[in-house]
Amino acid sequence: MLSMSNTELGIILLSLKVAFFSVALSLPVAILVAHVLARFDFPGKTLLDALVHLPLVLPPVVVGFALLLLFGKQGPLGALLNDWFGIVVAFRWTGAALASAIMGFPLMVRAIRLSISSIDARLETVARTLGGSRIWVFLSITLPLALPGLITGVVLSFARSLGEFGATITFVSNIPGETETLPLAIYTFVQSPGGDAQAIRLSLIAVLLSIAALVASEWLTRRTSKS
Amino acid sequence: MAHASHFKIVIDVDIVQRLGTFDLAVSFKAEAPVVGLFGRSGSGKTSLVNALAGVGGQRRGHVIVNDETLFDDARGIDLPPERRRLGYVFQDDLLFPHMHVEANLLYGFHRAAASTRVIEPGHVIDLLGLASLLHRFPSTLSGGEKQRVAIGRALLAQPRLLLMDEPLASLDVARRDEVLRYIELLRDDLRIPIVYVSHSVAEITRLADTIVLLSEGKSIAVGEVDEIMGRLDLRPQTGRYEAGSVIDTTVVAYDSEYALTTLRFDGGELIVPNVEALAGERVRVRIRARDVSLALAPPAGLSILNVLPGTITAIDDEGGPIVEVQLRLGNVSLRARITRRSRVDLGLAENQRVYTLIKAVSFDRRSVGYA
Repeated sequence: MLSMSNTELGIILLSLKVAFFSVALSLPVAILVAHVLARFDFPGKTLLDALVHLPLVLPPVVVGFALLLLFGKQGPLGALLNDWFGIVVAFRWTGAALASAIMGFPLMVRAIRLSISSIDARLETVARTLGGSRIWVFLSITLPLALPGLITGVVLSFARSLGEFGATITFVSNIPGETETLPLAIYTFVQSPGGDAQAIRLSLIAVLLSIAALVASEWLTRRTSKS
Repeated sequence: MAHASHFKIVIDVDIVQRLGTFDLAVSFKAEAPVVGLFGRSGSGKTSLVNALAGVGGQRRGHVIVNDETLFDDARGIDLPPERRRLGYVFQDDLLFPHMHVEANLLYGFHRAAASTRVIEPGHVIDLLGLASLLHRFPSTLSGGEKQRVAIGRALLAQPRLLLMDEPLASLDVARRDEVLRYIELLRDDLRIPIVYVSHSVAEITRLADTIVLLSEGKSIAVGEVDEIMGRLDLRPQTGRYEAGSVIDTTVVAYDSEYALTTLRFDGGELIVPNVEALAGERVRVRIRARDVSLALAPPAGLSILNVLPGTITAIDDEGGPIVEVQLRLGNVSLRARITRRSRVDLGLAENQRVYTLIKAVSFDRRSVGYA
């Protein structure tokens, strides 16, 4: 029973695809926001901080519903995306990636922010006096030194994405082959009579994926701290 | 005690800044190869250096270095730190921990415009003895090595001057002397002007030509080292300081049998111990006023090695038991501190020819430096 069915493989590949794109989507924004929160003081900082943390404390269903209102075909942002770029996210895997990205965003920002805060800001100052522009200093000093936090943030949000359920099912529904990721598939099997065995198989796969992610992050962290 | 060098900085600073409950209001003009910013901790030294470097908050006033305006709020000029070209060396080495020594050294070099690159990496590596460290990471270096790398890194960014904020403060005593010698070496070899910040009398008098005395966020005096340090009214800020004179000399000979070095200056020759310098090297010595005795005739049967003829230029007699005598030896001025009774017994007066006696052992390590 070690071999996987095509359906199972499809579910796993879809989950990985959604998780990958959700991380890719949120990482640049998270780095920017984390840097701003760690290094600058400005009016409204508390508000931005609260906003970033909102997905962590809101019921995921509410986030999913909000996304539906905003990014649905009739929603203000959804219509804009469709008109300008021809991108439709409602009821598509891209929507699942967007939902995951938003749910994992606070975890990613927290990890990166913590890492940037722990860097001696005078290293950035000295780099500036050595002739580095703001952007160059950020790229050559801040980012490399924040790498452990970056890795932690990526892994946390990747894992969070693999487990995302509430916001995804509310926003993009549960469409096999399009938006039915691992947790949604498990939920489907649990709901259907006689689906327990399938649910257990998929659950084990979820466990293996999570462990693999943790091991990979551990390995990466050790590799970066060595140099 | 004019420094026999033709490189110098002209620095014109007027800075007003509010830092929490601390008010910085510094205004001075100085012109020298090495300008010392001297003051107790909390006097605003680091805030001032930050103002020069262009980091750390909003301020009013101006900073002009060698006729180039780096900052002038009235004219809307505020060069960012990366365009000021001031080689800032911090109290802590602040090496980039994720780069090996060579990458640290070249960080600023690569950012500097090709046309400004006159200080070569190979030369700095030789000068600061960094060749064997190039592929090591900062965490494996000793404190002195780290600070040398930090100085080299600042130099290779091709700065118009070095801005050193207590660069020896985080080092132990043995390393301080080592790094201090390197600083003197690069100043003379690269002819780079330095703004040197310290609360240490020994460091300031050894390195600086002109000092700016800071107290409670204000510059309260600017002038040559001995003039400032000798002023009684500044005693609360300068602390107990032995009045004396600084003389720039050249090594002419070394007597290995007695481990004594002969130094030549305009007023004659001095024999001193504890100098590790080769013939031709320039050495700065500090002679405390109380180590100088005066005689009317060249004495005989005396253990004192240094007997130099000079002329009295001024006598500072305030009626107390101690009198300060200002002398001229060649073109160099020297101070002597004697009792008023000796002054009267010898009948000393201005323009009188006398012999100055300086014990060789009065030159301790701290009073002999490389200049």
